[in-house]
Amino acid sequence: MFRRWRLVLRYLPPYRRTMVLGLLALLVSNALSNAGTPFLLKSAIQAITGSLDRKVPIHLDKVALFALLALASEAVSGVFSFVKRKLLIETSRRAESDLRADLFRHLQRLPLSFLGRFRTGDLISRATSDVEAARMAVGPAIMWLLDALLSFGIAFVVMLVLSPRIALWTLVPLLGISVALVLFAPRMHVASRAVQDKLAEIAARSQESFAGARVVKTFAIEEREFSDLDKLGQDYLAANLRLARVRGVTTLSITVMGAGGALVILLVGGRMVIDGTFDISSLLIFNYLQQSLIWPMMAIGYIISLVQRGAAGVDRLQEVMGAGEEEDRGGAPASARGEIAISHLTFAYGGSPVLSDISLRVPAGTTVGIVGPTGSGKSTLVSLLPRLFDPPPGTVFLDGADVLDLSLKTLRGAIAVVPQEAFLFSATVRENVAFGRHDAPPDVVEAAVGDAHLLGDIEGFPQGLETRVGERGITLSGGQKQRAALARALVADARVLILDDALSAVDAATEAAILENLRRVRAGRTAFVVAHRVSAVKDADLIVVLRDGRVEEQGTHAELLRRDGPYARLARAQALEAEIEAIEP
Amino acid sequence: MRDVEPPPEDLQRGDWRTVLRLLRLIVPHRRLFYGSIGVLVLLAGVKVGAPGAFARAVDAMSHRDAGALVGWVATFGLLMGLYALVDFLRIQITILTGQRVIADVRTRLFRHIHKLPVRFFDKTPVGTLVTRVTNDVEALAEVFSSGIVAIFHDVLVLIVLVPVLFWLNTTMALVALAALPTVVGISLWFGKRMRLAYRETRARLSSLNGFQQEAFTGIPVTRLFRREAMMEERFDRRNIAFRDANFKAILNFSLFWPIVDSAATCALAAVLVLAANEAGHLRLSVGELTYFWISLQIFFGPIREMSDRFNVLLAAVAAGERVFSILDQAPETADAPGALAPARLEGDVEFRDVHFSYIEGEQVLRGISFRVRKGETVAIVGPTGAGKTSILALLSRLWDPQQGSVLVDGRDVKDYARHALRSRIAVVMQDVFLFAGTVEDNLRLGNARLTKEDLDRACATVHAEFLGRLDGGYGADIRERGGNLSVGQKQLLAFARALASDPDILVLDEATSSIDTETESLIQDALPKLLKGRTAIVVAHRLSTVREANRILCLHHGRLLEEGTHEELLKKGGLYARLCQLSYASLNGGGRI
Repeated sequence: MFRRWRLVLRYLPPYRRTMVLGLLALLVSNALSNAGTPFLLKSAIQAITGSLDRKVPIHLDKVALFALLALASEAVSGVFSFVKRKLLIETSRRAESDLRADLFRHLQRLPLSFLGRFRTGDLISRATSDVEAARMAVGPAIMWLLDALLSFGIAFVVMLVLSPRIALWTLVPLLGISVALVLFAPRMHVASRAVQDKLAEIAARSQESFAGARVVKTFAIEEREFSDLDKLGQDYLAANLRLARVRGVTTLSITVMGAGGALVILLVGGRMVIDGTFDISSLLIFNYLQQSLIWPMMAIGYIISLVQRGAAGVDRLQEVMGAGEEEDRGGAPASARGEIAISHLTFAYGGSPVLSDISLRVPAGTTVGIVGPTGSGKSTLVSLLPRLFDPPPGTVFLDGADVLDLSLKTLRGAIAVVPQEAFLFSATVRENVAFGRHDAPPDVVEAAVGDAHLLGDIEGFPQGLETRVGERGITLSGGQKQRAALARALVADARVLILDDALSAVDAATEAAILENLRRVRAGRTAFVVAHRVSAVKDADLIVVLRDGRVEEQGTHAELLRRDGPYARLARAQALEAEIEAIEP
Repeated sequence: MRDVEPPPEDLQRGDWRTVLRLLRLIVPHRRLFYGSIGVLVLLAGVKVGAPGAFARAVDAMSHRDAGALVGWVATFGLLMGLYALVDFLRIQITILTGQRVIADVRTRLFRHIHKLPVRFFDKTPVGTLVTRVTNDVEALAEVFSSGIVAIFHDVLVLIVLVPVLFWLNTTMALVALAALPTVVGISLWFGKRMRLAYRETRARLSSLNGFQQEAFTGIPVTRLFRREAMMEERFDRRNIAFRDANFKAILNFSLFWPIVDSAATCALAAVLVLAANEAGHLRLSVGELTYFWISLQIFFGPIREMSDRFNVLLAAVAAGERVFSILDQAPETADAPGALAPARLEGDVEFRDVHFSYIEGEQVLRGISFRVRKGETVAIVGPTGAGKTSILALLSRLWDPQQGSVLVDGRDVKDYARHALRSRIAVVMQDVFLFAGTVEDNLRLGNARLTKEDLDRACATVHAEFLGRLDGGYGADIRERGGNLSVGQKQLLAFARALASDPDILVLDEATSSIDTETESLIQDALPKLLKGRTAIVVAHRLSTVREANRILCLHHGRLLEEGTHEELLKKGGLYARLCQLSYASLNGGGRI
């Protein structure tokens, strides 16, 4: 039971002094408002009623004194209640922020093979809703629980002191309230779940209907959509009315039982007052304190649901926080010549192999072109080199060392990748291009931007290199993004350069110009060029054609054309495509 | 998790118009609304009356009158019972009112959205629309079931209570009333500060979430360039900013309750002292003192919640504005008066010099003219971006051309009622859209007149019998977007659906995605049966389809380059011939165009 909470509770000890102070404040504030104020009010009232009873003049100054003291007690209680809330809730926010920071750090280091199981939205919801749910459970829920217990306890002790008999009698209607809550709370839960579910159905149905708006129009089936939604709307209305009934009955029974408490006080206490064994002022205070007994009972249900929600959140956090980080053996730095060897590599993400028995020898400084249909394993192959996914031991080598034995820092430092989906951060173009080397001098950045054929575009941007990309800036076209990602890889100045279908959104002419630039930049570096276009790989020292995770054929451009296999077919088809595109109507 | 918008900071001038529009929504349900008001008046009366019985009971004990005590306690009990019942009624009637109103709003909104032009859907994310018909509409319900109603109730209670207090004792009533503006002022002032602080935390949170979203998506890039430390540092900045914004909110929140409570206690202390003075002059009984005390609680109770209620109102106004902004969007142009609505079409289609663009300045069709006679099949081919699918969209009037005209049976499509035209044209799209529901739902698409035999026949004709053999037959569930059917199976279902509706014109966008060989041959066999005897326009990718067409239209860059039969065009050796060559040469192979 408590083991699950350890994940969250370990963030509290650093703040234990604040928490102890907060708890003390809670105690003082509660004692004052539930014992101090009532006693002082009672004295003030007694000063009035007692004098009236004995038909003597009222001591106004006495009444005023007690009234002022009651006011002071309430004010001091208020100050402590302020301190309580501020210290305890702030602490919960601090712990939350620490937890979220650890979660973020951990996520940065989890293997992609593990992260791949989660959608980004799912991770976000863990980092927000679940962290928040955990906070509510260990912060406010505990605070309210203590508050409720103290409030009930102190108020009841005061009642016992005033009159044990009436105090015990007031328990009877309270028992009724707890029975009503136990009885109705589950129904309330069921009914409000039903409302949520119906609303979710409306959301899902309208999502589908709006996503298919064109289809709805072309098939002229608006009426069907309307009647479906109307039906769901009716269901939702009915569910809401059911919830209203349960809520109404719950409220009704609590009101009736609360009134029952007042009746008991009036009847039992009233008779005692008439007998002269009880004071009217005490009776009024009894009525005043009854509230302090009722709200804690209602609060408990809410607190329980907070704790349950928190538990679910903690479990979801544990799923991520409990997973192991990327393995980093931190082996000796490579000599960084850039020689790559792949030997009998078979790789699967889980199910059937994506790559089967691949062997390649890539001498330092040479270029390998990789082509093949979608899903043939091209991207997987190149993502194993910088260990975005771990290859099996003894299959992938950099400069003779198994990549698994190298430190991630060295390995990834030796390899620069232009990924298939050119992902840029919402930062300036310069920050994005210099992402891998923050201290890169301006001329290096500018040279890379030039080599990536992005200079002309950037000159058209309002703030040049300092223009922000994304959300609150300029939206780059797919081709511009790819070229920026290319520049980013060039700035990194690594021995091995990987272009993973990195120019797919760039038009043919620009591609040719970039490839020309790359030929110069590539000199002395090892390069992998994954591409769909023959034009991007035809100058490579070696071209590998993949199909279904296997090497279908390999050789130079000339050799492969002579073989007249798939590569040659691809080359012919692309030549035709270019011809068709060029036809001018 | 759907994001809930924070309430705006305050009401703006123009918001009153939205408030009025919101209030007008209640007009069709005014009887319910009057009912709620009746219940609220009754509730206010009982709420003010019941403590009176309590006070009388206290007086009875101070006079040592046991009989009167029992009598007043019984009265108090009865009044409280009545109060509980009326309160139950209040909950029922206000929720019923709110829910009825929003059911109307949702219906209106949903219908309106479906009447909006296709352009609207291109620029509005589906998620936004869903939020409008769910969360935003829901926020409106709150106004009618708790917001406005609660404010109304509070005001009513004050209206009943204040005269009673004055009747009991003018001086004390004045003191109690004097405290009111102060407490209301404090409450509103804090309310605004809390809203501001809340908005600040929301802004920080969304910046933090935006950053995390980006950081999580960019994890591979961060890894490849070893920038983990930098990302963490950026994260920390936002995380701390969010935390600190929360501190500000906590400060306001922690101050608010003690201050409001102390203000209420101040009033109570003043009343006590005054009461002592009045009682000394025998102008006030103990019971009346009690009544004042309880009244103060009735007084200040609603004020504590006032800022919450104001928040509900603000949120509703903002939601209402978003809802109205959609309702105010102009729908597709209305059908012309006396629009044609023939039960059947002949099926003669003509495009006359049609120019069309989705975005101004980017012409998709540049002067297309062709004619398809009744019963003919015409295939449209051309490289990507040639404008093939736009022709289909123009025919069902999803869009209207900027220039030229589209004619069906010799009349401009604009002369037809949209619904009549569209229901006589069946469309099979490339990406078959299936609705979650049963197979039968998807075959019928709301047409209740089709018999089971009609469906059987349609399925048998286009080799979709497998649908009847699914677990549950036609009643089998189709998951969202047909996730449990293969691409080929979805195609066949779409064929059956089109055939069952027995259209006069069939429009088909052949799927390009690869389909297993067995299903592929079923499709090739089913297609001619589907096209037989009706006018058909097919955006073709299969050689077999093209060969069997009466004519082929060859499109390129929005112009009609070649027109003729397969043999004629091959002989011509132009664009069509190249396209055929390409389909043979392509690495993905398979005789596709």
